[in-house]
Amino acid sequence: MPNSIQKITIYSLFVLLSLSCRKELPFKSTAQQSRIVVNSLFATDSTLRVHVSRSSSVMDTANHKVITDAMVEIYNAENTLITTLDYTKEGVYNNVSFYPSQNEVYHLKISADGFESVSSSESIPQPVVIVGVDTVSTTNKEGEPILEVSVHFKDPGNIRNFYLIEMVVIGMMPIDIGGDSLNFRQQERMSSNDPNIETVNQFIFNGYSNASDYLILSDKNFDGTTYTLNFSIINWHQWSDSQMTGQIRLLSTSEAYFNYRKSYEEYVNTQGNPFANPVQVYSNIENGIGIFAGGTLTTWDINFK
Amino acid sequence: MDFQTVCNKTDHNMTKINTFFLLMALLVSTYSVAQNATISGFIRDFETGEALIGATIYEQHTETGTIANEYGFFSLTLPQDSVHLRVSFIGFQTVDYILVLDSNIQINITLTEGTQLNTVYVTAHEPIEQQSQMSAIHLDMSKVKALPVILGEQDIIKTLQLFPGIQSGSEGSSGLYVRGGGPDQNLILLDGVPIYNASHLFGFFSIFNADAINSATIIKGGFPARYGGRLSSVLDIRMKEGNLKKFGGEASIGLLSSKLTLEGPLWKDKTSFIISGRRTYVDVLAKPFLKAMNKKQGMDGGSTNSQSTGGYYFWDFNAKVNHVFSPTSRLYASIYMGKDRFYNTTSNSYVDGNKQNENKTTNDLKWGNLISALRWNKVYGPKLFMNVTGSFSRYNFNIGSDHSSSITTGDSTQSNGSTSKFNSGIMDWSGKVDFQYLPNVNHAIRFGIGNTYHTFNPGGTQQQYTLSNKASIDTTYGSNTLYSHEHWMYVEDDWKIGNRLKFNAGLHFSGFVTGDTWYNSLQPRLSGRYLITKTSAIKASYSRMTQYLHLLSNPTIGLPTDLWVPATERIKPEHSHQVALGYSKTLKKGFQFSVEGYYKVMQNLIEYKEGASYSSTSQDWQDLVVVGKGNSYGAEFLLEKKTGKTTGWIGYTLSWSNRQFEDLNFGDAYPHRYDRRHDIGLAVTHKLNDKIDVGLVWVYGTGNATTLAQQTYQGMNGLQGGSAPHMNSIDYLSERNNYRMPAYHRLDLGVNLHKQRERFESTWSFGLYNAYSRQNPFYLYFQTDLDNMQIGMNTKESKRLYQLSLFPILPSISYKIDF
Repeated sequence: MPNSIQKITIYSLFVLLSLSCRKELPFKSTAQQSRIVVNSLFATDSTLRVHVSRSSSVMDTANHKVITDAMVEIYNAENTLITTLDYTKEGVYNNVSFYPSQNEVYHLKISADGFESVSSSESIPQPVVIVGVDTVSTTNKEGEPILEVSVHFKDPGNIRNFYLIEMVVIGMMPIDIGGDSLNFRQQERMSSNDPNIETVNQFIFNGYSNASDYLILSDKNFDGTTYTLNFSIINWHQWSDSQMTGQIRLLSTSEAYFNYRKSYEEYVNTQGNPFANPVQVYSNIENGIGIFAGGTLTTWDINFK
Repeated sequence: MDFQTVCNKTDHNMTKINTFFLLMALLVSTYSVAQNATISGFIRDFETGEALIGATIYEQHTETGTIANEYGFFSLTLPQDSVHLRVSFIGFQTVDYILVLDSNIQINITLTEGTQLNTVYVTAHEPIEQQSQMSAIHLDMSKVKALPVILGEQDIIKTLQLFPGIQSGSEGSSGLYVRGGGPDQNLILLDGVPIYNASHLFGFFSIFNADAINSATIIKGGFPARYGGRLSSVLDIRMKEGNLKKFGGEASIGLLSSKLTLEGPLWKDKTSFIISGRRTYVDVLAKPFLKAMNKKQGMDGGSTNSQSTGGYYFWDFNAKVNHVFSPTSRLYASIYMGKDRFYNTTSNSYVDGNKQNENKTTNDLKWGNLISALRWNKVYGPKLFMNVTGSFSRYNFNIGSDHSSSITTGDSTQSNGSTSKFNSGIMDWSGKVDFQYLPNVNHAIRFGIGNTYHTFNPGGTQQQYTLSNKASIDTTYGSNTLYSHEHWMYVEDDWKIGNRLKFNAGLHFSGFVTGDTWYNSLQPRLSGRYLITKTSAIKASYSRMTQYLHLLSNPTIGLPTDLWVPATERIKPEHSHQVALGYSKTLKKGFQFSVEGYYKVMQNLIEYKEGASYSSTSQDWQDLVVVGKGNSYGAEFLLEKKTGKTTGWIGYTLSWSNRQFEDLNFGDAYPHRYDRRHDIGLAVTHKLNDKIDVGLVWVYGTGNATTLAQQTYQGMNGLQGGSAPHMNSIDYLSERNNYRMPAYHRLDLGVNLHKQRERFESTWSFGLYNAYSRQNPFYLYFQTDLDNMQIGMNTKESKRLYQLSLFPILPSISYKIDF
């Protein structure tokens, strides 16, 4: 959502542009043919799934179409075919018996009739150990409870590491009608002054000027050390008296996914803002679009009570 | 020594006297060793005393000459002999002086306005092929006032945008994009003081009141060493000094604004003043209508009562006083103030059950400049001219929003409020001294030194929340104020070697202290011309430029929210190298032709990161930018006619402009937003008779580059947690600035009807901006529309590309009096 400064500028421009004329233009597309789109984030604890679809013309308002007859192959570092993924449903290709391993490089190759073949290479980074989590309850300027969290994790040395961290609230949420409950999951609002944070376009929330729904950082300043990341859960007062559980989720991923996620969030934040620089979402798919990356998820539960 | 002015029509007695002096001079010269003597002084308007900047003084026998500097001073060293001087300036009668030069003399020459009595054609300045300076345009202020313009508002910058190599940005913008450079790369000087934002009304008009301006010169390349601090151009604007002889003025009323200029002597021939002001009045005219609307809304009844007021205005004010201590000493004091303000207040109240609700919101957007300067000219002997300047310049931009709401239930009231204020700006204190030394006719040496103390406020936001029954929250964040010193020194020589070769060579050294870092730069400058014939020349130039200030600009729509920031330890100064090669020729019947090719490279350019914008105020600006480089190249053609009843020019530019940032566009080079392949500007004025003149402007430019998605795709959202990822639709941008807007072209027509009355001259001006009402592109966007929205019909979504255009055909009318 644009902040108040943007609102004022948008309003003043609106008045100015209310004097303007509008007309439809023929769209002269210089775009190439439709491309193969790949979405895949794989880990050692699950089979390697790849979502394959096609890009559409910007003028096309129909739902995006998946590709159901693609040849999806996985090769190893020596370019030997390891496995072929089979189509399951809704664009997802999978092999129920293939689990990717750590420190292995995987080459993805996809071909389909009518499309230029695409490829990508990635591996799963080493798992990251959360050594411990400390929490302290305190209050914000309005006297509402907030949770100060310190996550201690061991960064693997001599290798570039990239992290995404979020906190979610999970549990069974009772609903008023019928006495039933539903499976609840909500991402929490975080604030951090850590100098290694690289989140862009943080927003203002409850008096905090650097609020965000997640934090992203790299280890360029703490390679090989046990690092402590401090942040506050600034809407914790909603859950401090509940039966829900907080879960810290630390994803160690490749630079490709880090760039993808960062650029994707920037893209989402700029939607509807005519003043923001346009964002090109990162892609590591050669001749195609999308992301093929490995990650390791580590979680740590916090009981609010 | 008695001195006599000789008109072109000589009489018999004068001829005898001159012949006598000539013979005496010849005799003396036979028996004496040849020596030189210097004629120096000032060239001014006989009626007003204004300096005639760029007037030529030419000695017919030796075929040498010089031009008056920005204060009207000239110095010409010649052999001690009989001399025949011809002094000329466009729009003024040429005057000839025949005298015997046997010692240094100081003379003040005055020229009278009017047409030539004979058929001698003169040019306003040194003939184009004679000048060592290339890539320069000297603007004729009479053309600025004669050409048709939007809403009748004469504008220096709008006129400059008609010349090759100088582009406007988007529709109506008064920004300057010179040879592929950005709007921050122009050194805009008003009486030698830099101006940071030269725009009113979101860039549709410039801050320069044409009635108060004496001269304007823009240099696009081959920069003399006396200029520095910007990469792409120098726009040197000189205000009028005020009529030393008699009181007078101009007043005009138009559709958008009214102007008043008064000038005259405070002490005849000693002290003069000029004041000039302008204000728009759309907001004043709209107020009664808004009031009536609000009143009607209240009378209509209903449970909701809404009121709104608002408006926009700008004003500017120029004032200058100049005092002549002696023929060799003069003091000037000048000030410019200007402001734009956009404001809006809405309030509403309604009853909801037993609760009375009231809300009020006030929005305020304003920006403005304040510039003041004190200058002292001193002439030391016949060959040395000095100017000392002390100045202050400030630019501020403020956005404010205030919201209050209350709910009253019975005797109890809950109220909340929020205030948000953003401000940014730049402030300079500056001092400099410049010298001009003319030892002989072959050298014109300039040197000088100066320092500016900058204070930057890149952007700070204050937010306050007041919640009922709770303590208020007050937060301030943004970038810190930054301080720096910028200093410079230079030396240059305009050197004539033989009859054909002339060049300007110089060195500009500058430094910038910011924090613990001192940046410095030695910038060689060279430009020259070689006469092929008496009326044609080839020219070449090289310039290295350094810029210590950056402007963070919004990439999509021109806004006053652009932020001036300094070079820092992290963000280095910008540099450029530019080479140019050209040919110019003076043709018959007052025509001049020139063609130039240029190539420019720029380093350390900054751009907002992807997703960032001026409103990302919670972060330091240095965290929001990326650094890269750019290049531009092209060819410019210009054919001008400066004399006669029909005057004007046609210019054509073929150009490319690119940028490359490692962190943008995946590191690949991409076209600059204002990469405009073809640009044509045609401006013509024709004087039908003494009472009527007409003007025509036609511009054409291939479309600006913009970023539009051409494909969309599904992209993964959220972290993997054992469940399938969510997908969202994402626009695929293969390249930045990948789409071209439709071409821009526009025809403007104007007619001026003059009438000389007893005590004043009146002028009615009628104009048509965009005479064939072309819908020129301002902004492109996609929109998804629902078709067939009728009961019983299946609605269908369709996506369309729309273009917003700003100005259809706009007539204008204004009335002016000169007294």
